[in-house]
Amino acid sequence: MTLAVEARDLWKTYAGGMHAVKGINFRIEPGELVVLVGGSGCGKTTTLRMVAGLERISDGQVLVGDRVVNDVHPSKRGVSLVFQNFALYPHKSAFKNIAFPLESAGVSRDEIRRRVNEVAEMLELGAHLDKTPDGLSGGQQQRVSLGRAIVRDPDVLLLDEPLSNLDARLRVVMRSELKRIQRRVGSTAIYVTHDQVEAMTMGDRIVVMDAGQIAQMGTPAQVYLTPATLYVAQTIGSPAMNLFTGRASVAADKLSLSGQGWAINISGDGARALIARLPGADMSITAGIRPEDLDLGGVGAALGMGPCVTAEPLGSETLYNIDVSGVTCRVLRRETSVSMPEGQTAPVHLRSGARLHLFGADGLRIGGTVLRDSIGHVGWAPDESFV
Amino acid sequence: MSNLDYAPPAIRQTRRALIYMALIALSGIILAPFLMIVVLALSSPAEVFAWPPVLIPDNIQWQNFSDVFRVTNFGRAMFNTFVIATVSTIGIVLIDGLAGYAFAKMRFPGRTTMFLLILATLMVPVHVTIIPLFIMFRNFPLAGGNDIFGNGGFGILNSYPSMVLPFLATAYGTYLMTSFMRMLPDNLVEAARMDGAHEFAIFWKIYLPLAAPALTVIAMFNFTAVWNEFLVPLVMTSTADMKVIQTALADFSDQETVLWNLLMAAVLISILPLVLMFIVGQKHLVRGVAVGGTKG
Repeated sequence: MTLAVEARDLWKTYAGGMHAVKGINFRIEPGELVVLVGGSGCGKTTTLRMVAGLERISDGQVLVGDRVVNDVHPSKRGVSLVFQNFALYPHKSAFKNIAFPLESAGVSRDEIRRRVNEVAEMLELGAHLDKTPDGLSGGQQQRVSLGRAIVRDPDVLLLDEPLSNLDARLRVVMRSELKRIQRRVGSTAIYVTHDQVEAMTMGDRIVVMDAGQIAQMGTPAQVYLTPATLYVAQTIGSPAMNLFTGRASVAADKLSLSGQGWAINISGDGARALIARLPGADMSITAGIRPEDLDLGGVGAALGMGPCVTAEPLGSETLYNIDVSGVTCRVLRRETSVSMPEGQTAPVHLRSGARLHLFGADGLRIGGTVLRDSIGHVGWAPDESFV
Repeated sequence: MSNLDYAPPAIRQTRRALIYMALIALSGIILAPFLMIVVLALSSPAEVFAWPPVLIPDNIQWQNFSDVFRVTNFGRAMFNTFVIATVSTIGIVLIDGLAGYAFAKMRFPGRTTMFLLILATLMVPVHVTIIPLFIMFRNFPLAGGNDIFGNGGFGILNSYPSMVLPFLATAYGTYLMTSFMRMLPDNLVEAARMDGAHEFAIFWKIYLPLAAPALTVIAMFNFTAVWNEFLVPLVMTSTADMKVIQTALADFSDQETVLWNLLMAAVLISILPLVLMFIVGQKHLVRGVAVGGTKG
């Protein structure tokens, strides 16, 4: 059986009054894989541990299905946890590690053998069941740890940065593997990571956490295309979004966004719609543009101009760092054959179809996206129109 | 010797020779009394007092070893010693292990204070506590003819419990186990808790096996200490059938004479189990001492 998980006004306050989690709310549907992502100290692991029952809940409720589990022992919540460093019992074989939850539950020997073998087959661990953890590779330890978590058919599978101890190549392999296994087992899953690539690739939905609160919850596309706050904009996406600080000035029906070394003018219906949403005629803003939405050269007026500081070939594309009046602007170009020498000055343009995100002085998104069309016209559309 | 010794070969060899000579001399000082025990244990009474001392007896007196058991009830003393050393060692492994687990892995009010109090008892010598212990054991309720208030009889004196109880748990063992358990990862507790194991099962199935090196050290040190214990058995027991090795060794002497050859044979017999234990457990002991940072 697979159940929903819900957090209602969940708080974690440590001795001394430090709030690690500040009244968050979310609901994860049965069978869904939701990723909690954020930087160190954002409260994502604390939230997971409160769901697991390893951390006492200061206030609020955690529900598994319809049942409030605040005071239920971790082993009775129907949840299981895959630890960051696997937490395998070093003196027990892989078989015994996987069998341990069943032994604790008093399952018969024959049944234990049957279920461990079934899980081992699913995880391709059959040949390694007699080995102790120190005789297993990182990936195999990962699988044993996962096996121990799924062997008792949990309603909810919790994963605490399970890939962070693996090397880069294995991490990519295990990403899809974990997703496949979660789909096959059918458990609702909460996955904690600080790696936004993992979050984007694995999550049915992503919860971006910032300073103990949920900054945004949505599908990977929603979070990527319409980041709700500056923090989300900076956290999601690699290479990170370019941020330009400046002012938004309204003159008649025209809107001018400009800062040191950059400027964009918006006119027409889009400008009028955006002006209606701005709290004032002249206000501080931060403009965010993803590196893939910028190009070196193009039609129309340039966003800004500056010398190329470094060029980083990434294989299929190249990342250029352009110094636009003291702000390093990242530009991602597909063309790897044409490289720009470092030091050469280049104009930075918005690409056709580029999106520019606006954030107010409070760091919140001004509900829409500045769009550049194929003929260089810059307009604006509210979020509701395309998400 | 360090592998990073870059001195010229001649200096290096001289240095090494000097170090080996010093080590051999030190070994001689340590081994000489032991060799003397062996020589005396195999000597006749006349050779014991011969001058110059006899290094290899003319007739090796193997029967000294059987005489040890004929002249005194040394077999019974060895059995008694074995019982109290074994029971107290099992107790220490369990109780110190549990205490170490609790102090290292569980959270409860007063944990630090209690741990410090236990550590503070390390400063109190056993000689200070021996008389209070004697009074407590003599007044033990409903034992040895005592009433419920502990009066009228001799309590648990002259019994195994009076010799085992003082060694059933040690502050030192608790300290060592706590230090060792702290080095084991915390998340195994959490993993086991998630897996449905109750607190004792976590200790018994996960941490106790992992603490084997430290437990070996505690077990071996404790077994040796209790095996060689003299004061507590002397104070707590007075009958011949409750004698232990150390108090039984006194039977080889009276006011006028000391049967040195038999005494030395008895000493050799008494240390034999310890030597065997150290040979068998040497590997674990070295590992345990290394991880526990203990002086042997």
